Formats: sequence, C-alpha cells, structure tokens
Amino acid sequence: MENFKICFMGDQSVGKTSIINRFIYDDFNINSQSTVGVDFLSKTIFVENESVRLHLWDTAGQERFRCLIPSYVRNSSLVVIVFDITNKTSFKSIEFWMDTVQNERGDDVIVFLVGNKTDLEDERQVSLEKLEKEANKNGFLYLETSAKTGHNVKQLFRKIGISILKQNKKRKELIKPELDENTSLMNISLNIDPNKLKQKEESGCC
Amino acid sequence: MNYQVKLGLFDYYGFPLAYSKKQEKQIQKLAKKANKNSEKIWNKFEKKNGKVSTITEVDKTIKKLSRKGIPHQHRLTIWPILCGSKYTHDQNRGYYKRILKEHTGHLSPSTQQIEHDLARTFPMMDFFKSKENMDKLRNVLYAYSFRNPEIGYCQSMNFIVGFFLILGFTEEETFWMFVTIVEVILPKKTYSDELQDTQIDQLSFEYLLRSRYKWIRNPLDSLDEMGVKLTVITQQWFMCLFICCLPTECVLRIFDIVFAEGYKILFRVSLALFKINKAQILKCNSSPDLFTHLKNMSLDVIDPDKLINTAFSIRFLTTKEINKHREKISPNVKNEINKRQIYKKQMRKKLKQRQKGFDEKYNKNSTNEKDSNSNSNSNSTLSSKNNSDQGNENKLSKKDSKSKNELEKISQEVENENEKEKIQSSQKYQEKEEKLRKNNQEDLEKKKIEIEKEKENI
Repeated sequence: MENFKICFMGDQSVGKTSIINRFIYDDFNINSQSTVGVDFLSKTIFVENESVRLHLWDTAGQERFRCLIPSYVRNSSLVVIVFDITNKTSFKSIEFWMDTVQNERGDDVIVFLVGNKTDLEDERQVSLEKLEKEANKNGFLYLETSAKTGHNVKQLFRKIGISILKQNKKRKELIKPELDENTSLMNISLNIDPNKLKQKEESGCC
Repeated sequence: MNYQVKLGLFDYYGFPLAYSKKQEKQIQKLAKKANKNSEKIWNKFEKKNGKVSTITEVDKTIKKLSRKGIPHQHRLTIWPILCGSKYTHDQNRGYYKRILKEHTGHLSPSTQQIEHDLARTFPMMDFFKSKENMDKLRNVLYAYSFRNPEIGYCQSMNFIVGFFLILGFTEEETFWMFVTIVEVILPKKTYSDELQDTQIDQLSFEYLLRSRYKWIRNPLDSLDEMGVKLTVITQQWFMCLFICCLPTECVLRIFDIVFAEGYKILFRVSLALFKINKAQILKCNSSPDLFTHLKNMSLDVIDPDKLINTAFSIRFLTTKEINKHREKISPNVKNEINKRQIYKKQMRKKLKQRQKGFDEKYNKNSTNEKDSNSNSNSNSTLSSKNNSDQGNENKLSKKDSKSKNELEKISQEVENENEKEKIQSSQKYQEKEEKLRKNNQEDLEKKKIEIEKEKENI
C-alpha cells in the first residue's frame, strides 16, 4: 500500500481541523480546539480498486506559525488550501498560500482549493463562480464543503485519492529509462518488428 | 489538538479527563498524602506574602518542596508569590483596568485573532460557556496585546490564560502571572518574531535528546526520512507549557516547579517523557506509527510523581548546557528567519504591484464610464495607501537599521543563488534535450540504413 502526504493550509478558523475530523471520525464540534503548531492524522481509503493511505498534516492558521509550513509542503504530494466562504479575507489570502506553495514546489504539486462552511449560505461572501475563476486561472482543483453537515467531504477525499493516484502513475512512467521509450516509439511509427528484421538480415547473409 | 477526551468525564480540577475515573481517584489520594507533610511550611510561606520579587530570591527549601508538589488549596495564593507576579501586581495597582479602559473599542489584527480563538479555548468545558468567563478570557488576552503590541497575540496563549482562569485565579492575577511567564520566565521571543526562541528551543532540545539517548537516534532518523521533524511534537509542549498535552495533575506539578526554578524544567520533563516511553518507542515498526505514538505519549503519563522523579533523575543537566546548545543553533535559526522576512517583503511587493495593476485597470474603466471626479477620488485613496505604506517602512528602518543592512546582504546572496540554480537547471535541461535529439537522430539513421539493406536484399 502506498502512502501519500497531504498538507492542509488556510487562515485561522476556516475549518481545516473540522474537515479532517469529519473525514476521519465522521464527527463535528462547532468549536474545535485551535491547533498549535502542526497536527497529524492518517486514514486508508479505497479508490479505483486500490487502497491508499493518506497522511494528513493539519497546520495552524495564524500567520506567525507560517514559518514552519514550508517543510511540510516540501514533502507532500497534494496541498489543500481551505478558506471560509463567509469570510472574504480568508479567500484573499489564498494568494499568499499559493505563493508559499509555489515557492517551495513550483507547479510540481497538486493544489486543491476548498471553500468551507456552505451550511452558512445566508452569510456567504464568496461566490462559487469566484472560486471557479481562481481555480481555473491556476489549474487547481476546487470544491465547496461543509464540515458541519458533511456535505462534499467524502467526495473531497475521493477526488484527492483519484488525483494523487493519477499523478503517481504519471511519475512512474516518467521514471522509465529514456532509450526504451524512444525505441518503442520508433517501432510504432515504422510498424517494424525488430525481431523480424534480424531474421531477414540473417537470411540475407546466407 | 488531539485531545481524545472520554466524553462527559472531568477530572478533579474540572478539565476534561484523559483517563479513567478510578485512576483519577488514585492520583488525588497520592497528591493529598504528599501534601500533608509540607503544609506547615507552605503556610509560613503564604504569610510572607509577596516579598519575593524574582525567581532567584526563592530559597532552597521552597525549591525542594515545590518539586514535591504544592498542595492544591494553596496554589491560588502561592503561585503568584512564587513567580513574583504578586510583587509586580502590587507595584502596578490599577494598571490592568487602566490599560483596558484606554483601549476600549480599539481594534487590531491581534484582537481579531483573539476573537477567532475565544470559542476555541477548552471548547468542551462548561466554564467558558458562560459569558462572564468568556469576557474574562477576552479581557486578559486583549490587555496583554495592548501592553505589548510587538508580541500581541499568539495561538497557545489562550490555553495558558484559560487554564489559570479555570483554576480560579481572578482576571488581574491571571494577567500578571501571564505577564511574568511571557516576559520573565520564557525566552524573549518565544511568541514573537516568527517564534524565534521557540524554534531555537526545539532544535536545541532535539540536539540534547540525541546526545543524551543514543537509542533515539535511529527512530528520529526514520522520522527525518519521512520528512517529519521532532519539533512538530515538542513545539506544543513548550508553547503551551504542557497544558492540553499532559494530564492536569502533571501540568500543575510542572507549573509548581517552573514558578520556583524557571523554564529549564521543560527540557527535563520532555527528556523524561522520552525516557519513560523508551520501550514503546523502540517497538514501533513504521514511521507513521512512531509519529502517532510520540504525539500521544504525553497523554498516557498517569503518575505525576514518576514523571517528576525521572525528570530530576537526569543528571548534570544545567542551564549552561542548554544555553550552549542554544548558542550553537541560534545563528542558523536567525538566518532562516531573516530569509523569510526578505521573502515576505518580496511577497508584499508582488501583491502591491498586482493591486496597482488592478487599480489602474479600474481607473481606466472608470474614466471611460464615470466623471473625472470619481477618478480623482480613487487616486487619492491610492496615494493615501502609499503614504501609510511609507510610514510603515519608516518605522521599520528606525527600529533596525543595522539588521536591515544584513538583510539586504542576505537577500542579494539568496537572489544570486536562485539565479545560479535557474541557470544550472536550464543548462541541464538543454543538455538533456540535446542528448535526446542525438539519440533520436542516431536511431533514425540506423533504422534508415537497415531499411535500405532490406530493400537491397529484396
């Protein structure tokens, strides 16, 4: 079974811990304790007939703890940036989080934008369209969730699993030796089997 | 915080219980027994009433007794005397109320952050469900952020203040005890400047741990391979002074000693936690298992006496040794923090430029659509923004003109390095491409030759 690291980031009290608690314990507290430093939880899920173990890193949202985050981004295969749809400033600071991610990893990492607290539809300040725009601009995945009602939380982690597996397969293909790739490509383009060629050459010599 | 609370159960002090009620009763019995012997001396100490102004003035018998635990009924009066907060409190009568009055209605980033965290401080306890108590917590945290805006508010402060309030200290007592903890007992920059001293403490603790216990090296190395640093686990211990990390009785015992002897006890207790859990740490097979065990092992410590005794059985651990490690590590940490500050500055510039871009676009649109009046308005808002920015920069330059030069030097180095890396990576990329092309061409030529041979044969 393969292990993957996922880093949760986002402003203070947007619901990072709550989303993780909903996913792992299927439980919700209106006020979860504020996270000091970094927390860690893990769970196995089944995606596309494969079992995948997700290691979830839950980071503190306050600005002065951000100095510790880069080292987690460095080693994670997916980053989830969470914001609160009832809080504009948390949406604005996505830009800052993105830059910390890109500074560490470039475009090498999958990023998931998550708008949390859809249960508070009346207080909404950030529309789904805005989120869509922001995500499409950077080629990120996006989703709106509610840790309180559980809306879209399972789907979020299924999508995470799928995209991680995809990326993993791509990586494995890239690691294959270069020459093999070239020859196989040549064979396809010329429609010639190297074994047959050899046989004919031998026969010609005789 | 992964406080796996057994629902509905609370310990003697009203905190959520991390273990069974039977165990809780046993612990209370032990605590009361130990306290009987020392009660007379503590009574005397109480009558001295605030003559102690600093930790160094605490006499040796008191220090020894504090290691055995202060009787809980005396803690409310003894802690403020012991740590010296009562002294500062007496000298600054009325300060607390004044500072709150002077700043009524004052809003700052830290007050906003405090508001976010108020409801998230011991959320499972009834104590903070009443408005009165919530206001107390708010007042103390606000007052401190007004007193020392440079430190302001940092997550984990809420737990320390909340802890004191729950134990029954008044608002003012809590405030002054908190002040002495942040300003006297802990290193200066524990909660400010990118948590500089917390980082130094964590790293020097890891150094200490590795040098003291050789058996821990392999497990720690396996964590390193996983990309996890030990600081993740110990940071919470040091920043919250073990509140929420250890059972309440243990936390109280640690505070007894911290107030009497200073914060180096935190190093001792942390070392002891590893020592107690040696067998279980070595049992862990995989690094994720190891990590979860390390994260939760502090909550499993039930016997406070065992913890304190093992902490003091560690020999020759002096402040000198700790300071040596700290001095070794601090330049590295400071360097990284400087780099981060430069990075932050660059980020701010970037964001400003983006905003300017947006504003200019907006202005163009507005001139097309609206009167010239609106345009001048938006310009004036822009200029006022710039003014405020300049003001901030001026403040910065006044504060640390020396460090600014250093920062610039480092920033140049960083930029040079980045450029070098870019160049190197681009060169490597080009080389790779050329190789690929060559390979392709060679293959093509070979196959062409082979095809021609075939044709000839046919």
